[in-house]
Amino acid sequence: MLAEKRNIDQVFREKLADYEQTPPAFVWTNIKGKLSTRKKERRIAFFKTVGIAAAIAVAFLAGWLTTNPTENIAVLQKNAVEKPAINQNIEPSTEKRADPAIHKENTTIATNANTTGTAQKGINKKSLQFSSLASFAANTSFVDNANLLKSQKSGELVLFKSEKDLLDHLQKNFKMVKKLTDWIAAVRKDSVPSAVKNPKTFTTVPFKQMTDIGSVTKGVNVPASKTDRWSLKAEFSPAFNSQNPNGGKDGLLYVGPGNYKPQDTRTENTVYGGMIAGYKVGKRFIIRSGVVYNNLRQTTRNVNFMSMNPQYNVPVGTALASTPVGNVSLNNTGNSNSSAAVNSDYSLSNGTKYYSASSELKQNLEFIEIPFLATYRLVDKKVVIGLTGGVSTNILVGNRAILSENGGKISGGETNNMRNVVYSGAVGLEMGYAINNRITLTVEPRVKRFINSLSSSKSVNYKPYQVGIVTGLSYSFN
Amino acid sequence: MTNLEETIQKCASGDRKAQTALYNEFSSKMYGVCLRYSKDTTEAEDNLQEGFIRVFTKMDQFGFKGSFEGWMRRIMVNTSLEKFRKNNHLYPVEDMMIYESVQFTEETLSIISADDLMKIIQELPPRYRMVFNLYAIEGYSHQEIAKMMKITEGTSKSNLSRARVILQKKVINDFGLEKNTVTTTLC
Repeated sequence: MLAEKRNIDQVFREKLADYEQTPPAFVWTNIKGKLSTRKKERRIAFFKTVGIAAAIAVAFLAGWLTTNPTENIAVLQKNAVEKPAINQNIEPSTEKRADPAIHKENTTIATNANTTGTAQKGINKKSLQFSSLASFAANTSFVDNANLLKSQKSGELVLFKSEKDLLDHLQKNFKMVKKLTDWIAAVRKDSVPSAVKNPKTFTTVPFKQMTDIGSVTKGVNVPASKTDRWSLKAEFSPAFNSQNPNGGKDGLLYVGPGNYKPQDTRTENTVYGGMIAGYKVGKRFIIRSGVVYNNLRQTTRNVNFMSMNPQYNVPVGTALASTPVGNVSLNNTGNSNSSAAVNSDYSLSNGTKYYSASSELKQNLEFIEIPFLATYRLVDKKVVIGLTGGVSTNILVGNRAILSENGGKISGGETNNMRNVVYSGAVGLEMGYAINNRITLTVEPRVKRFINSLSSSKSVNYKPYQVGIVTGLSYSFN
Repeated sequence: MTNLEETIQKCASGDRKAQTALYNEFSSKMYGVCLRYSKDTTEAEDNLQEGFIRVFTKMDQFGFKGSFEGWMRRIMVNTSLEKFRKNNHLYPVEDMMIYESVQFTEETLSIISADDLMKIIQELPPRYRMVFNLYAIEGYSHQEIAKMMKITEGTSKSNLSRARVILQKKVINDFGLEKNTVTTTLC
C-alpha cells in the first residue's frame, strides 16, 4: 500500500499548505496606520517637489528678466508731436564700437511727456521714465562735454515740464541716473544716431521688438535701469539650538514612562544653509525667498526603551522610548533585560519586555525651509546694514532616531507624531561689505523660533529656538 | 465582474472598507504562509504586516492575469525571503547529508497535528526552513530557489536534504513513532 504512505515532504505539504490561523487584531491596526503614513509621505514628497519647482521657477524668472527686459522705449514716428520739442541732431562717429548691433544702427531716442495728448496713452510709466532718462542724458553737461550734440537738424529729443520734474527727482534721489547718462554718453561718443525729421506720433514697443521697427526708426539698446534689482545669495550658518529646559506648558513637557528628567535632554548644534533669491523693491527694501536645508538634533540620556502593548499603536517589532520631543518608535533589539509593561498611565506592569534604562537616544529632524524674508537696508553703500524679518514654512523631510548604549548603536527608528509642516519666524541684523558692484559678503546674526509645536501630540509643546550666524555671499544682477 | 475583482479595484484606489474586507478574507491564510517562513509569531506578524502593505500599495500591478490568492502568497513568500536575506548571511554549504527517506502511514499522519508541524518547521535553521518551504510546499524547483535566494542549486539541494533529515528525526521523536510504523528507504 505504497500509495497511502507519505514521505516527509508530503506530510508537511498536506498538513501545512493550506494552514490558516487568525492573526492578532493589532496587525490590521498597524497596517492601517502604515498606509496612512504612506499617504502623508507622498504628500511630503509633493510639497518637496513643489518647493523645488518654485525655486527653479524663481531662478528661471530671474534669468528671463535679465535677458528680456520688458521696458518699453518710446519711438518716434512721423506725424507725431504737436508740442514744441528740443531737436538735436547727432552725427555718427567714425570710431568703431565693441557692440556691432548698436554700431550698425542709427539711433533715435525720443520722449514725450505730454500728459494731455492722446498719443500719451500708449506709454507706460516705465517707458516714460526710460525715455526721460535718455533725454536727460541728452540735455545734461555729460552729453555736452562729450561733444555729442553737434546738430539739431534731424535728431529730436522732446522734454516737457513733467519730465523735467521727474528728472529732477531722479537726479536728486538716484545714483543710477549718473551711471546711466555716463553710459549713454559713452555709447553716443562711439555711434551717433541719425534722427527722424518732423516727428508726429510715437508709439511704445517692447525693446525686444526694436529691430523689427528698424524700417521706421532704429533703436539703441539702452538699459532700462542700472539698479541691480535681483540678487542670488548662498547662505550658510551654524545653528545654536536651544529649548526651554524647565518644561511646562510653554516649553517642553516630557511624556511617557521613564525616570529621566527633562534636563537629560540637550540640543545639539547643527548647520543650515541654502539658496535665496532677492528682489529689491524701492531703494531700501529687499524681499527674499528660496530653499534652505535645516535640521534639529537632540540627545536624551537615561532613556527607557520597551515594547508596548498593541493599543499604543506601536508597530510590531518596535518598541518605544520617550523623550521631551514625544515618544519614539524604535526597532526591537530582541535583547530584553527584564520584563515590564506599560499601562495607559505609563506606569509599568508585567508582560512587556523592557530593554534598557540607560540608553542614549539621538533624534534628528530634517527640514526643507521655504523662507519669506524682508530686509530693510539702513545703510546700503560699500558697507551694508539691514534689518531682516520674516516667516518660513518648514517641511519635515527627515525623521531619524538612533538609540545607543555605551557608544554603540542598538536600534533605530523615528520620533512619533511629528508634524509634516511647521511654521517659524525669524529676525536678524544683516551686516555686509560690497566686494564689488555685484558681490556682497554678509554676516547676519539671526534668531529663529518655531511658531507651532513640532509635535502634533497634545502633551508635547516643542517650539525650539535657533540662533545662527548666517554667512552669505550675494550676487546682484539686473 | 466578480465580488473579488470589484474589491480588488476598490482596494487599488485606496478604499479603506474594501481593504478591510480583503484583509478579513485572506489574512488567516496569509498568516499561515508567514508562520511557515518565520521562527516565531512575532516575525510572522511582522512579515504579514509588511506583506499586506505591499499587496495594497502594489495592487495596480496585479492585472487579473492569474489567481489573486496565488499572487498574494508570492508576495508573502518574497517578503519573508527578503527579511531572511536581510538578517542572515548565506554561507554556501554543499556537502550532502545522507537522507534516508521515511514513509509515514495514514495512521501516523492522523496523530500529527498541523500546529505541531508548524512548531517543528519554525525551529529549523532559517535557511533550511526557507528552502524546505519553497521546494516541498510551494513546489519551486532547485533552479528557481537558487535564483530567488541567490544561492547555487547545489546549496539549495544540500539545504533541502539537511532540512528533511532534521524534520524527519523530529517528527519521529516528537510523536514517539516506532520504527515499524515507518518504512525507511535510502535515497
